[in-house]
Amino acid sequence: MATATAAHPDAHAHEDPQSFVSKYIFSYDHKVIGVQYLITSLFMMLIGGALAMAIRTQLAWPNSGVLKADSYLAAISMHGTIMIFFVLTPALIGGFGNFLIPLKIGARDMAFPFINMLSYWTYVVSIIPLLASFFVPGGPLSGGWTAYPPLSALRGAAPGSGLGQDLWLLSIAIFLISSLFGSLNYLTTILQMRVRGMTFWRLPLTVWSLFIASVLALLSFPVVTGGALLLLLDRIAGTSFYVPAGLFLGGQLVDHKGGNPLLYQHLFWFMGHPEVYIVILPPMGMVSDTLANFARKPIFGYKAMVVSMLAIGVLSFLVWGHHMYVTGMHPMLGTAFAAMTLAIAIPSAVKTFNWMATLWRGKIYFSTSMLFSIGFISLFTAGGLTGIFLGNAALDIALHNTYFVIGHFHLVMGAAALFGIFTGVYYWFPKMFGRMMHEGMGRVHFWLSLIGLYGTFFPMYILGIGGMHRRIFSFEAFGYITRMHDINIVITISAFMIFIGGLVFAYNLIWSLTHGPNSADNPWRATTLEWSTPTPPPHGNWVGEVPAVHRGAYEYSVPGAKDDYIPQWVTPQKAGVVTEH
Amino acid sequence: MTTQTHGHGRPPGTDAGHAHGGGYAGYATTWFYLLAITLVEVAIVEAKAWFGLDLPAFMRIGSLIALTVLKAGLIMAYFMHLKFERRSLVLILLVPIVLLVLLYVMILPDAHTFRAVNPGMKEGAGPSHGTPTHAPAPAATPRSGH
Amino acid sequence: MAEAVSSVEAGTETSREWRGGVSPFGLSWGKLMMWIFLLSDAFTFGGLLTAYAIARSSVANWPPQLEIFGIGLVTTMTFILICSSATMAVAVQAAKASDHRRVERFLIYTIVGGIIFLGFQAYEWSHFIHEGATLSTNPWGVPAFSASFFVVTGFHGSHVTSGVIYLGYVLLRVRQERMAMEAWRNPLRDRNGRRIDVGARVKLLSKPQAPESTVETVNVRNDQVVALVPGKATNDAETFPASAIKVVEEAPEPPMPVDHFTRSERVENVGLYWHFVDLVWVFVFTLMYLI
Ligand code: HEM
Ligand SMILES: [Cu+2]
Repeated sequence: MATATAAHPDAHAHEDPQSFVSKYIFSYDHKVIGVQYLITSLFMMLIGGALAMAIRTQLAWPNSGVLKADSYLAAISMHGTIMIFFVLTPALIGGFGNFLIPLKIGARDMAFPFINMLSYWTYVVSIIPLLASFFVPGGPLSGGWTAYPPLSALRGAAPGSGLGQDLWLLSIAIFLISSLFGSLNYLTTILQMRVRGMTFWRLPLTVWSLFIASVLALLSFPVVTGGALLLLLDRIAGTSFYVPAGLFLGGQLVDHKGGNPLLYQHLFWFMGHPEVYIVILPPMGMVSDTLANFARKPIFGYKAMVVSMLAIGVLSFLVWGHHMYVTGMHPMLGTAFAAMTLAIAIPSAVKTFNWMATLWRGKIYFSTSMLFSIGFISLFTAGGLTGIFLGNAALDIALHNTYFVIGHFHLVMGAAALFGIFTGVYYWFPKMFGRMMHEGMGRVHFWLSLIGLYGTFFPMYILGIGGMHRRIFSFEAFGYITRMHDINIVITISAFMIFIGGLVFAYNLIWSLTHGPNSADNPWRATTLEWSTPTPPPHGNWVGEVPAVHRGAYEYSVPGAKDDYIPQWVTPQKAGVVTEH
Repeated sequence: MTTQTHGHGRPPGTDAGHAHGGGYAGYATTWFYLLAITLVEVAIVEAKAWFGLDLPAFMRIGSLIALTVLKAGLIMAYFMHLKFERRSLVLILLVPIVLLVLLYVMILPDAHTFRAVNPGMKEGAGPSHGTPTHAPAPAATPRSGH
Repeated sequence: MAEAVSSVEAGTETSREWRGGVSPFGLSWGKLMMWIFLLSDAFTFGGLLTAYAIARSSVANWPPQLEIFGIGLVTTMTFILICSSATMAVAVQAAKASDHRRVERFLIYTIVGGIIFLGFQAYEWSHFIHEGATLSTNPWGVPAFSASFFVVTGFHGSHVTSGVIYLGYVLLRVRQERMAMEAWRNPLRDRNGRRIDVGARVKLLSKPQAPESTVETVNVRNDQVVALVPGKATNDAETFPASAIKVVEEAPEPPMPVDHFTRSERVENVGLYWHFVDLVWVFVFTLMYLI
């Protein structure tokens, strides 16, 4: 049985699928599932993006009538939920995780192809109640993507607190199950199915990052599953886990008594903060790989990169309280969480400096993918630095719930993770579909996105310091915000630039699928294993034997070698030089 | 090659396992200890009623938690075979549990704050809504040590 | 049992080269996945138990649960669950030793233990509900008391229930496989001691004139052989006892129906799950009832 890694035990998953349905719909093939995840989440991105445009229009021109007060709150809540749970997480973990993990570690498929297929389809199922909630009386949830009680616990508290909130909970619950299936698969696969020679210290950083992100998902999601169960009971069974005594709703004393609303926030953010790292770690890994490739240099400080990702993984479980400084949390906890939060800046900085050192004196080739990678570093830094402001409890008390926070997490998480996705798509599109993407359109997409994102989120820092709070439908009631009307208009115009960039990207995808020039097996002259497969890879990934691995993933510009790169699967004899890794 | 999943290195298909009385006896010992510890736990709780021993709360709770962890350890080590698995697996499985302890420890202060400020719950509990079929007699006289 | 580590595994530990195909933990995929799943599930319980602990610490007057819960009943429940965990461990050990009948017997004991536990729990619940405790009301004081009781024990009970179903499924599979194995070891034989397998060319003793026919299916347990009766116009199949058949040409011996490893693996996995359910109860027992 020990040889089973090469000869898969799950025999029927390994026969070539015959019909259209088994090939493209209920496929067991990790590559198809990965692409399915990507396409579905890009579709969700369109919905989330459209909501964002509506929100921005409303904020720039409050009288335009795009949204009303109620629907505004519903729009931001759904925008947040969709972007975090239904775009970034599935695209990065589900999409790139599925497509890349087996290819990069030399496995023919995931460890449990059937569970993998289930994972995708439960994700699809989880989308249905979410989208359905747009059409129910009262509309979708309107208490923010965090769904804090009592707004989310009392049915009558807000228009969206009725059926919309129920559907939201249902949808998130199904999503959490889908994610559990995914994590089980990714972890088992990475641990058990690496090909001969692929030691942990030879794994490409993409695989490392997906591994750590899967661990975070595995451990943080179940806690919020428990938390959500209690919220559901508060809603439907009249329990009072989160609803305190003495609340009035519509002039009537609420029945519930004795709950502690802070409990929900703690349980939620125990998942919530790891979640932001779940979506930023995979882009970190992918960007590390593309940067090294397009600078034709080994990644600077490979081990430091891994260790800092591990440190981020551990620390991310210990900082959740920085979202709760102003909730009336115990002051002692504020201090502890502030210290931890500032500590997490250290590994993040290590990574940033390593990326820059990788670029230093490299033979840089500015492909679209590379542009997005460099953009990623820039956005991550611009957003992450303000995290240090927010991590200080004293400053956060002033800045909390203002546009400063919106600017911070959109740059560091939203924009940076999006750039990670784009980097990945431009880089691996040839492997996925056998065609190259259009570089010209790619550049247009890049510049529209970069300028748009900075134009949108950087001014938000100013708005935030100026005192504009988040989750307001119209600033006209506040004189001091009206003074900043111009900034809001600039932001909205920039936001539309991002959206147009997104449309260019969508067009580029469709054009390249049909008209893109055919791709060679290894168009980027890269070192990692996925480029040793035929393009696009057949079912089972490698024709014949899976190549063994003889070196680390970053052998670029090796002194003395005849090529400027030595792929992982080249034997030392063939490479002509002996290398350390 | 076949042994990797086997834990006990026996080639498949051999029915030579009947010599494994030792294994079964080991389970019986574990089982016995688990039951015994459970009894000890109950005895600690009922110390006052059974032996007239009024244990201070910290001793009662401390020993109960220690015994629980001991029981959990026995189950994991022997029933779940962790004792016979690789050290790395044991570490990977046990270390994350620390996070759960931290989760509890870091929320606890908030529970105490809440208790101090929550007016509804401070004075005598009384029944909530609905008429209880039972007189709330025990609640009226909370026992000391709770 | 350290000697259990095979030479292959030892090799990966000493040499730095990863050889692929051997788990870094010496576990099969399925078992590793079960462990990872249990770790995740432990966090679900961790979240719920934390919520319960916080709900309890958030009020000054938690009802004196010892006087409300019948400690005798709960201790009995705990005993039963521990016993079923022990029988489960025996079943796993028996599976490793390929003692199939013992596996089945002890799986049944385990299932019975689980069902008795659930019965006690149902009794306890109905008793409380009868006393006036529901998710939102509590005759003894703060409503969080009965709410967290129902949620935590209910969530654990749902795990016991799914565990019983899972055990039942494994029991069925083990049984099926044992019978297939027995049939393979002791096939039906004709008078001359030749094997009667599917595909064998046989003569039917009752119809000595008829030409040879082919065995379609064999049911070893009921001593039934279905063979095509060639003479008939419809080419019908008919059922015969083995004694009514004479093998002319044996079919190639069929391969072993299951390999030992899969079966023991399946029992080990359900065992891990079941012990985990017991493990959680150990904590629920202390945190909910005793402290
Ligand atoms: C690396 C990726 C990061 C991501 C994806 C991320 C994401 C987020 C998100 C989603 C919020 C939610 C704000 C809200 O809804 O109120 C947030 C807030 C916060 N972040 Fe980050 N963050 C990251 C890095 C950092 C770093 C490096 C620090 C500190 C050194 C930091 C400190 C904070 C603090 C203190 C808050 C709370 C702000 C408030 O609620 O007022 N973050 N972040
Ligand atoms: Cu955070």
